[in-house]
Amino acid sequence: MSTFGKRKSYKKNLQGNFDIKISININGEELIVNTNATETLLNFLRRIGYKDVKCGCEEGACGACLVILDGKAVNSCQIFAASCENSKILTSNGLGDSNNPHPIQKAFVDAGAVQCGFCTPGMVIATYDLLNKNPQPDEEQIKNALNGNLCRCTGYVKIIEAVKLAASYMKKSN
Amino acid sequence: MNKAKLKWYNPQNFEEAYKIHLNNPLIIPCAGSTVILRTKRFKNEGFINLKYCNLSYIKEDKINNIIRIGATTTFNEIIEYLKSQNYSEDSFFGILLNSLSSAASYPLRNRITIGGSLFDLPIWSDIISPLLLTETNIIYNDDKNILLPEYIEKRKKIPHIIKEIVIKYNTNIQYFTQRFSLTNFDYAVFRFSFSYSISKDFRFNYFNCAISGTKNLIFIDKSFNEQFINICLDDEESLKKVIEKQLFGFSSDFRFDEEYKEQTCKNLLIESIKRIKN
Repeated sequence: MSTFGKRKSYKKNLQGNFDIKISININGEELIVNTNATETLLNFLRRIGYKDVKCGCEEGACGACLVILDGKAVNSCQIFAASCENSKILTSNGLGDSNNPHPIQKAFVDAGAVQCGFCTPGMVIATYDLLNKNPQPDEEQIKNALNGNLCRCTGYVKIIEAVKLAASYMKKSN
Repeated sequence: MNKAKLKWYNPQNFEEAYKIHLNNPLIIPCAGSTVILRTKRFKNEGFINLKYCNLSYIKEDKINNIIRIGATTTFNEIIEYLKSQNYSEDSFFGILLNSLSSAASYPLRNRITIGGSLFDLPIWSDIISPLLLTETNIIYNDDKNILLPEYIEKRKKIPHIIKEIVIKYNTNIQYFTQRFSLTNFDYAVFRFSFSYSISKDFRFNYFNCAISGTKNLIFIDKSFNEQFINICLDDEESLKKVIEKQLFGFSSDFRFDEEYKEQTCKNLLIESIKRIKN
């Protein structure tokens, strides 16, 4: 399916009737926001301003929309926002910003693992999820953890270097 | 159906959940939502959120070789459990671990549930062929149970919500599984799994094969399996003869035509049998 068609469906979702009220914690902020029955978590987050969550394939293949939902990395395009009542969500901006970057974000910049940057928020979230569970992953474990994240600019070499660098930064900061 | 009219229901226990569905089968259960959203299937009147029904658990009875898995247990939760048990690669749990680990990507496996996978049973399902090699019971509604092959056939005719999956496994036979897909993170084009036992002179005295991804979703044929009995693993010609003459019944799709799938499946099956000899 063409990307054009997808964007059209995304815009259509923006015009829906948002009649379901949910309370949700996003990046530490308690919110009560309206959604509708079929709005995905991805469209919901972008609609209310979390544009760091990227809209890529919308079928769970590219990982650009990755967020941490109740402690687990998930593709937000494959989840209904209405099912996330009382959930905790962490997006890449919730980790840190340009003034105060998270060690993972700093590592991606330092390793030159960012080209167009579209896949980066998803990569950062996947790395965060991996390093939380396994602070010193080997290359194979990094590749496995990132196998749901596609990058169309790089050859993944810099990204894998960034994850290793992030592991060392996090070790130092701990 | 107007999307705006869809409603969400948040039952606090399983009984409440399946009664909502029985009252109106157009209100469908939603666990991980991965199949519903991938297939954009909104021809229903509402969703039942199974989040609060406490159906996420794994209970194993190692004395009787039975494992009970709650319907909303995610693939990653099962993977973590199986990894902690150190089962051998050629055991049933070894191939189940292989199948679950190769299904979709890591973040998707945090959402894909075993109950949802069986309820929706997509053609790319990675778990159906291993499960068909064991005595797998589906427990649904008010503790009714049905064997997996019968469930596959009747599931669309019975309004139901899966409560748990009960697997009685056999530790005296060996298992093998393999998938075919474009890339390792892509959905499976097909997956075959087989269980077998071999006599001292390397002849099959038991063989059972299940293939998913075919036109009818699965291929199981008792007479196909019986032809392997007494064939020696070294007798490549006889093995090829049995496999080559069989039609598994694949259909063409936008990636591969049916003949290509048939022949690839046959070649991989022959290769796999050669591999177990070593």
